[in-house]
Amino acid sequence: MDSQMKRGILEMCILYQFLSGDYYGYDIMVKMKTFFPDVKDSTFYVILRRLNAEGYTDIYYGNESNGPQRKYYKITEKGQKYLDNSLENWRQLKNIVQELGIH
Amino acid sequence: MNISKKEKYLEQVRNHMLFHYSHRDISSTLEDLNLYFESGTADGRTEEELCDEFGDPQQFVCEISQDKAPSRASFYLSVAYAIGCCILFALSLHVVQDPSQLLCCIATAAIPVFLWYSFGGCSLLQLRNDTAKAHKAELLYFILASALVIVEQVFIVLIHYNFHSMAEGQHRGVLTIYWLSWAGTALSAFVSLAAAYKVYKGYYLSWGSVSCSIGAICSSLLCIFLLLHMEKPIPFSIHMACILPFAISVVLSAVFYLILRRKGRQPWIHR
Repeated sequence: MDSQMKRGILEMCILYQFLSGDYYGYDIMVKMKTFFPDVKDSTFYVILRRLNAEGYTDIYYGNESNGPQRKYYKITEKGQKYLDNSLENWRQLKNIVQELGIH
Repeated sequence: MNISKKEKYLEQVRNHMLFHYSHRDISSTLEDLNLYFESGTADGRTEEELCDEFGDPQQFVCEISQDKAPSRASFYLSVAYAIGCCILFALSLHVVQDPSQLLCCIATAAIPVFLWYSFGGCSLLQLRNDTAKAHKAELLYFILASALVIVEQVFIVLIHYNFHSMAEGQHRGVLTIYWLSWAGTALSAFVSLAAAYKVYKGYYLSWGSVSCSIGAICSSLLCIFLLLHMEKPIPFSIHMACILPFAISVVLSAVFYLILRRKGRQPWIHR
């Protein structure tokens, strides 16, 4: 798959995961890995890093009772709007492709 | 002492990031990687597995670079320096009518070229993703800039010793070139201040830029000092001594570079 397209899709998928709750970096990488086994963790990390730099996610640190310190990511209002826009574009694209007879 | 797989991996990432990223960026990335390893090992995975899962360190740094939007400000600054260099060169050509002075003009243009390298050229290189290529290109720029500054110094000496045998009409042109050198030195001082500020803010700079800028400033200042006393005869040895600060800075940079490379470290200045 084209790397730009893949990046865009992964970005949307990661942001979508945050709708169901906050995740720490490793956790979201493991979750995404089950759906995208060929993608390296570094790619997920780079996307997380950019989403945060763009202000689509916020971070906070949490301490687990028996584990290491964790850096949690949560979606921001700006991220929510960006996700809505991405999902809208994705649905439109999917419809066009389906209308062309590609399934 | 055995270095763990994780430590080796973090060190490799750090080395690949050194030239391109700020101190803050590098620290934050290493902290994230550290958390990744801690979470992974708490999840029952080995450091080897996690390194493999994260991928090649150089590829990872390249991925970050590709993801980062190139700094337009840096790019425009580089272009501005290059244009400034051309204007100064054109000005030098305009003020000197005698074709025999052409080489002097080219030599005078060495200072802005060196400045462009020091500040703008490095910024341009930052837009490149391949660190190995950027490293080679930086060395090439450095050698070229060093050669140009040495040529400039040699021509300043030649001008000085031929000044009195030149026609009266040529004096004004030659002196203008010297004043352009003054402007170049002032700019060079500004570049060094900017470089110092960047280091203070945690950015990593090339060893060549900083040490050679300082050497070039000292050499130019000495030459200008002598030019102000041009009416008096100056011994050749003293004039040649003007080149010493720059020559010493180049040698020191080369030694510094070789020592760091031998130790397997990246030869960039960092705090």
